[in-house]
Amino acid sequence: MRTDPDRDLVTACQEEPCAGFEGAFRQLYEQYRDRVYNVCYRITGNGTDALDASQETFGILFRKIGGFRFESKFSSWVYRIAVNASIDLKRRSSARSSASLEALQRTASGENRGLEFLDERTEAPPAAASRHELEAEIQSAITRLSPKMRAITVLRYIESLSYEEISEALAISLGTVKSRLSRAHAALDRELTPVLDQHYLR
Amino acid sequence: MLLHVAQVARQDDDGVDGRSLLPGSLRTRLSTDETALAEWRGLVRQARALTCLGRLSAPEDLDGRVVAALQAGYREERAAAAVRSLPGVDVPVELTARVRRLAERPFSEDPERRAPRVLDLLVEEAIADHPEGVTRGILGGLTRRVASSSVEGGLQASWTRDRKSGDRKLGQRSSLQGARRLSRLMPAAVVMALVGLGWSVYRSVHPAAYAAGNAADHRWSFEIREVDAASAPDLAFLLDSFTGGALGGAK
Repeated sequence: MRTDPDRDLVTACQEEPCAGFEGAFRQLYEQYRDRVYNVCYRITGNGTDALDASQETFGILFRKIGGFRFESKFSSWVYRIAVNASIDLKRRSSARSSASLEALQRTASGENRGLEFLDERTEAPPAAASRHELEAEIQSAITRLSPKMRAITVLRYIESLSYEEISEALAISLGTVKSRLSRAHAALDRELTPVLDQHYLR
Repeated sequence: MLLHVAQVARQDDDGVDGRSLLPGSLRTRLSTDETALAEWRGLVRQARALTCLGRLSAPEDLDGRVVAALQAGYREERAAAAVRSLPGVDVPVELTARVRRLAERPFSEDPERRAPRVLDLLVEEAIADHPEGVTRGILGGLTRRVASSSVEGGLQASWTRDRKSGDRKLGQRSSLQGARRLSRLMPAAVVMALVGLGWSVYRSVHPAAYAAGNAADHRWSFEIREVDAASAPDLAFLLDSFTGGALGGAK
């Protein structure tokens, strides 16, 4: 039996259904809060949709945690819910994707409150602006991918999940993971090569 | 190569493309295959670009929204559980008796549901003249609509014209009726004229039959007499003779 690091907390949530947002569930929430928001943001491409998708994700977790049987890792289940909620929301609000790109570009001037980088380095303003601009363009390239390729790219390169964890999270085979990742790279090659050439990344 | 790209992208290496971090077999292949090397370098560049996207921290708004959503969902579940826990309600015995009475009672004997009298008349009319009855039923269901003011003006003008033409028609109708009346009286007048002519002819032909009762043969004479008091007739006798015995009391 695989060891699930969240087993104790999940079991405590199942034994205390009346605790609500307090107790064990709150701990799980604190643990997955940023991860869920990151996945939702990278897939939806904007902070508003990311908030909605994150809220939806935790709502589903709260309602269905009583029925979780540890057939997969709890983290894989969380990612699956977050990815599905984000893709569904993105489908419903696809018209707002251009506005979200503008919001992302405003990050360079610090107007977007949603983008607070955990590993922000101290850089000279021109370099920081250039970095923000590059990140905005990379995010834009990810947003232009199909939902399935977008999800696998985010889980692999931003959440650093292994092939097995991605396979479990998305409920697909390892072969499908590799093929989707390969196609994602091919699509990103068309989108990112001009951008990367412009910024002289190695 | 894909398997190693993500790992290489997160690690600093002393090379340009991270080949030093790869297993020996793969490193050897890349050193001899230019195509594979170019592909590897492209993958590494993409992976490094993707991993340079910073990890975002969730905004504080998310906490409040999740708490509200969970509490709302929790309240909904509590409410649903409370409703589900309500005991079932037993059907009162009276309901069964009422339903049985309704089922057993003929429809026509229900005193509370007697049809209005006008329904009988309408049904009789409909049976007697089915098309008219159907038409009335259809027309009765039409909604009345208010005519526009332009219609009223047009009607006024139309009525004025019709009244004038109606008067003319009335005159025409009167003359027509007089002709009809005259045509009916003519034969009667002819008959009366013939009767009068025939009477005149008969008198001229049979004067004796007519003389017996001929008013021209009656002669009236008057005699004036002076009388004195001694020879004056009794006044009562005169009254009596004038009135045929009514007033004088004559013998």
